[in-house]
Amino acid sequence: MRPADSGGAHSLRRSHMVRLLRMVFGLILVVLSAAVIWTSLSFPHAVSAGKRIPGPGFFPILLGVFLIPGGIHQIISALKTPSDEGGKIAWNWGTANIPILLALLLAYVPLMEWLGYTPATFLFGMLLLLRLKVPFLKALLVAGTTTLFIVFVFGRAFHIQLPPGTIGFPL
Amino acid sequence: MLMISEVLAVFRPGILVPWLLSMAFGVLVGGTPGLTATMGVALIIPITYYMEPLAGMAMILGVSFTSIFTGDIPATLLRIPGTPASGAATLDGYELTKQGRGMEALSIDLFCSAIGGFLGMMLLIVVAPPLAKFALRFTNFQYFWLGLFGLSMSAVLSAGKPVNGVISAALGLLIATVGIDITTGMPRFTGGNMELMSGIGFIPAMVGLFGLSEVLKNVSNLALLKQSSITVSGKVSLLRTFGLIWKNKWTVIKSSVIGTCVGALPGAGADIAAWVAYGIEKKTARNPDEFGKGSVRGVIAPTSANNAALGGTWIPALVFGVPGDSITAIVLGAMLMYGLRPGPLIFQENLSLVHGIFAVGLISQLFLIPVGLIGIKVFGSILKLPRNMVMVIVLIFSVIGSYAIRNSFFDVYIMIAFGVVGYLFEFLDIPLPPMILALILGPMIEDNLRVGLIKTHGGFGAFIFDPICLPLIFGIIFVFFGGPILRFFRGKKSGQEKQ
Repeated sequence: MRPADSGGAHSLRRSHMVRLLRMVFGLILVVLSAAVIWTSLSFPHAVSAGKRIPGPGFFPILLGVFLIPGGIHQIISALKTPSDEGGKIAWNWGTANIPILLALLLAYVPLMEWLGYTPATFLFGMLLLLRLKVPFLKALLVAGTTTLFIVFVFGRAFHIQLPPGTIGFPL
Repeated sequence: MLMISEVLAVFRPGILVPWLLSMAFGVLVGGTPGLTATMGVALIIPITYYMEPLAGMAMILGVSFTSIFTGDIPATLLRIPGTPASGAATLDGYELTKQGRGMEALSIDLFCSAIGGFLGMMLLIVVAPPLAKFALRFTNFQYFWLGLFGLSMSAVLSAGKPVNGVISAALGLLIATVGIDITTGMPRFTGGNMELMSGIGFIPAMVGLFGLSEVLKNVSNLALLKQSSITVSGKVSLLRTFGLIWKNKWTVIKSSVIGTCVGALPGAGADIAAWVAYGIEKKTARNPDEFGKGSVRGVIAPTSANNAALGGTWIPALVFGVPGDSITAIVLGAMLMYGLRPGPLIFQENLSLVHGIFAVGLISQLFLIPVGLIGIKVFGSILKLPRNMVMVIVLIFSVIGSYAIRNSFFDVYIMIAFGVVGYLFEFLDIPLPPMILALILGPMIEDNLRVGLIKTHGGFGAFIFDPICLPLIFGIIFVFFGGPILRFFRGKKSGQEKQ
C-alpha cells in the first residue's frame, strides 16, 4: 500500500491497473468496431444515376475494419507488459477525489435544471472546494466570486441564457 | 496587401477590449501549470460565439500568444512547463534561475517570443496568399489526402507510441460519423436521440478532453494540488537583455523560421517546434556542452520558435482549412460556427477578415511586451494561487463553456464523458490531439473520399495518379516509415564504417 497522500495518476501508472485497463480498452475497441460494422451493414445502399455509390455505412465500416487490429494490438501489448506492482490499487484521499468529483458533477447538472444556475453553481463550487481542503472562508469567496463573474459576464454581458431552474431563482 | 485602414480597424473598442482581456486571461492560463493554451482557447470560444468574427479571432490570437509566452514563466522559475510548448524552455531557463538569472532569462524569453511571433506572422502574411491561389487547384482527391496527411502527422508526432496516436485519430473519425450523414440525410449511430442528430459537439468534447481530464489528473494527486508559491528576486537591465538578443540575432531568426515551418506542418504545433529549434541550435552550436547548463541560446531558440510556430499553424488552417495544431483545430471549428468557410476561398470571400487576423497577429506581438512584463511581475501571485482553487474554477468554466454553445445539458454530459475518456487515455499513453483533429477533419475526409469515389465511379486511380496527390501519399508514408528507414540506413552506414 502507498502512503496516504501520494496517490494519483503517477502512482497507478505502472500498476496492474493500467495493464487491466489497456486490456479492457482493447476489448472495447474490438467489440465497438464489430458493432459499428454490424450496424453500418444495415444502412441502406446509396444509388446515384442508377449506380451504387459509397453510402452512409462506407466510412464507418472502413474505420471499424481499421480499429479491430488496433484493439487486438492493445490486448497483446497489455499481455506482454509485466505487471510490476502485484495488483493492488492505491486507494487514498487523492484517488477518492475522482469518483466524488464525478458524482458531484453528475448531480450538478440536474441541480442546475431544478435550482437554477446561480445557487447550483455556488453549492457545487463550495462542496468541491471544501472537499479539496480549501478553508471555509476562502471557499466561500472563490465559489461566490466565480459564480457572480459567470452570471454577470456570461449572463448579463454576453446574454447567454443561463439555466433559470424550475423553481425560478431570481438571479 | 495589408492596408493601414485595416490595421486601424482592429483598434475599435468592440475588438480591442475583448482582445486585451483575453491577453490578461492568457497570462493566467499560461502561467498556471496544468492549464494549456489549447484549453484557454477552448474556454473562451463560447464567449466569442456572441461577438463579431474578428473580435473572436482577436481573443483567440490574444490568448494563444500570451499563454505560450507565460507558459515559459513557471517553466523557467519552477521547472514546471505552464503549457506543453514550454517544455524545451525549462532546460536552460531553469538552470539560469538556479544561477540567480531567472528574471534575465524571462526578459530574454519575452522579447524573443515577441520577435518570433512577429516573424511567424510576417511569414504567414507573405506565404499564405500565393499558397491560397495554389490551393484553388485542389479538388476532393487532394483534400482527402491532405486531411489524412494532417491526421497522420498529428498521430505520429504526438507524445507516446505512433500506434496509439493512430488509434486516437481513428476513434475521433468514428465519433465524427455520429449524426445525420450529409450526403444521404440518414442518421447514423444516434440511437434515436434528437440531440445526437447534429453530431457530437466538438467544443464539449474538447473541453472534456483537455479541461476536465486535467482537473481529474490534478485532484487525484495531492502533491500536485499543493504546488504553489515561489519567491523571485533580482533586477534586470533591459540594455543587457537587448545586448544578449542582438549578439544572438541569428539564433532568433533561425529559430523563428524553424518554428514557423514546423508549425505549418499539419499536426505539428508549438511544442514540437520548440524542441526541434532547441535540438538544431544545440547540434549546430560551437559549444553544445553549454546547453542544459544555463545557455542563453538554449533559452532563445525554443522561446522564439514556440511563438513563431503559432503564426505557422495558421498557414494550413487558413489556406487549406486543415488545422496546424489543436489550437487552430478549435479556430476552424469556431470559424464554421461563425458561418465562415476556412480554405482558399476565404481569401476571396472574407479577405477583410483575413487581413484583420494578420493585423491582430502582428499587433499582438507589440501588446505581448507590456502584458508579458506585467505577467512576469504578477506571476508570483498567480503561482501562489493554490491549485485546488484553480481546478474548481476551471471545472465551473468547463461546465458553462459546454452548456453555453447550444444551451444544452446534454452537451455537459458529453463533456463529462470525454473528460473521463481523456483521463483514462492519459493512463494508456493515448494522445488526445489526434482525436480532436479527427473530430474536426472527420467530415472533410469522409465527404471528400465519398464524393471523389462518386466522381470516379468507385475508381481509386484519380486518388493516386495525380501530381498533387502523389507527394501527399509519399508524405504520409514518410511520416510513418521515414524514421525507421533512416535509422536502418544510418545503422548500416555506421556498421560499414566500423568494419
